[in-house]
Amino acid sequence: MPHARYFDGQHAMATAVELQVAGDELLLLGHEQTIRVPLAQVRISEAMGGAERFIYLGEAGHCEIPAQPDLAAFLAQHPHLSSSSTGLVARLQQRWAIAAVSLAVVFLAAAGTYQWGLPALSNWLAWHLPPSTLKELGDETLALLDKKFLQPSRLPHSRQEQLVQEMSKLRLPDGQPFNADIQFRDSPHIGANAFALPNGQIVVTDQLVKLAANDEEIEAVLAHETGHLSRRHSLRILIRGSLTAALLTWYLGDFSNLAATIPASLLQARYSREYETEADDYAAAMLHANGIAPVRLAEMLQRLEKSYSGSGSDSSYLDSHPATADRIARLSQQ
Amino acid sequence: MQHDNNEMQNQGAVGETVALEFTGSGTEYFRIWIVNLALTVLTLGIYSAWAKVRRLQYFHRNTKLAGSGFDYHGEPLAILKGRIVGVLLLGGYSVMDQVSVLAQVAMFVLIMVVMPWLAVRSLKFRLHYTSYRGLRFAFDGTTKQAYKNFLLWPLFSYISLGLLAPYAHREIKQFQHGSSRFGNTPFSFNATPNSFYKLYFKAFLLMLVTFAVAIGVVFTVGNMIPASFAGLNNETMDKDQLESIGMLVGFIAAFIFILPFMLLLPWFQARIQNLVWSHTALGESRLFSHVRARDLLGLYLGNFIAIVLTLGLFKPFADIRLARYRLERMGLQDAKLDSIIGQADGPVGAVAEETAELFDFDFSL
Repeated sequence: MPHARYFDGQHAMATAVELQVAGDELLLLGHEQTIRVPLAQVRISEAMGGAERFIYLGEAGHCEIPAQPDLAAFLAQHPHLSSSSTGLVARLQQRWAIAAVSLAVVFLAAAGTYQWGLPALSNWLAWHLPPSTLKELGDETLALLDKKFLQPSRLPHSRQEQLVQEMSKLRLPDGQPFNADIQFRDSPHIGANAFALPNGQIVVTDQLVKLAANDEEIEAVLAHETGHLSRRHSLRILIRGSLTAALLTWYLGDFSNLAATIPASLLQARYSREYETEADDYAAAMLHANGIAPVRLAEMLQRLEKSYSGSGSDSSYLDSHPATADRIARLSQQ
Repeated sequence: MQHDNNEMQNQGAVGETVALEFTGSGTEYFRIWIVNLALTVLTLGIYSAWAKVRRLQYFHRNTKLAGSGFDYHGEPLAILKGRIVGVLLLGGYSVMDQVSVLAQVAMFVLIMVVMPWLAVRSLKFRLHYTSYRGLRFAFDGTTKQAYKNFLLWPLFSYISLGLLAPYAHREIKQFQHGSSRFGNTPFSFNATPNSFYKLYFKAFLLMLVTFAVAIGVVFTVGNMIPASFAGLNNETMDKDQLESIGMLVGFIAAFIFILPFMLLLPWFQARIQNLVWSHTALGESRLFSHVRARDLLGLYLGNFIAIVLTLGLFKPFADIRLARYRLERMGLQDAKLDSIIGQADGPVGAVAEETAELFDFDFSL
């Protein structure tokens, strides 16, 4: 007979008992008394490894059964006793085969979420964020950039105004006027560059303005950036990064709250080529609409490529840029 | 039987120091965890309530004091209801900003106002559904006290720019621990505000020092590598590669910057756990806790690396390791468990705990 500790539910003191089944009752044979509990009221806990089994006795309290050699046999002999503990899930948990299947299910779900679920959700969010949030995001990003990477523009004011004048005459592919707020910045660190922020501003570096052979090339670059803007590319990437970070934070919890952002950033580092093609197509359409040959963008890209590879950066990291060559070819044909 | 009687007399019956024991195993728990996770995924989250009950039962029953395990009595359906309410509240808050800024602010205020009430219900629930040797724990704090402790004190702490934070922290712990009960025996809390101030001050100094060091490192490193940025310029080379380089540089800098906090947090957690629990008593028996910050830090780092390397699969093992360490360093001095008797409490609903959980109320510090 298995031995156990009995607690009456009113006192913390334990009583040593032995368990026996007689008819439709469970007997707890103690040193001084015997307690009888109808089997119908008895419930036994699921097997949980090193934890002791708990037998709940309704109003009579409960028993804790330490591990012992005959326990399994005893429980097997009295199936009614253990029926509540061999529920489907309890049995499933015991088997490594099921664990392996579960692993596969979870892995597939995670992969699916990352590949499809997260991008879908971030796309939806990117299109449904209120304008006030977009403005805030853009303003904050520019402030951050101004602190770390950008300096006030050194282009003469007349040149800046002249460019802004020309840009304001441009039209978007759908006929709307090109309303972006263009910000000029000097950035020796970054070099020739231009990027669009979620708040509708486009930042153009002095270095890019000086690199261009003519203003149409600058307009081509702006058209490309407007393409990114109109499709909310940077926003989608930003949101996806945040969602990934949030998911990881939830999963890792505890101390790793901050650390979770690291793998999230790494996972986010891939900027989709698809986005570049979309922006290029948009640029081509926009340039067409303004009577500028799309090949200007290709020319600017080539110029940028040359300028960067000559700047003394570690070119052992860099490929022969098949991606850019493709884009140039595509643009030249449009 | 004779043997058993002797065993039992020696365990926590009269005036002895007993430490918690944890008998959970990583491999065992992994099986439970992965099967429950798969079921949760397949049921789009509905099964999570059952998974939570199972997880808590596993950890409770594998935590032992003086030879007896704890037990958890939560009901999955009640938990599910609570989670649904929580999700609705969260969803309501997120959607409000589509309606108007005013609506969102109103929702936020509503949540803030309801929060202490939720917190009390949550504590009541959590304690009531925990038992040891058949006797239930209980939380006797009132909602009125909760407003003072969970709303006013954090507010004061915030307004005073953190100067009142240690005092507020102590008040909150006093409320939590001082209003808790096991059976008919109340817990009490006697840490002084001074002890909290000393700890916070030490943490502050440490933070300044590590911060200064981190800034120094980031500055030197940052000036050596020009920052690359995502933009048109990068289309002159493989975009992916330049992105990766840029992100890597940025991430290393950020990591060095964040590192002091990552190191300090476990240190602070360890010290707070020791401070709080060593000044808590059950009736006349004082509790003790002596976790070591460096052990905790090692655990966290090791767990984190292992979790990343195993794509998350190490998490259940990590949970077990952490629980074992923290629990086995705690216990009861001068234990007089046998003399404790039960006290009848009414039923407690679970809706509050789940809702509180969704808004991330962590009472573990």
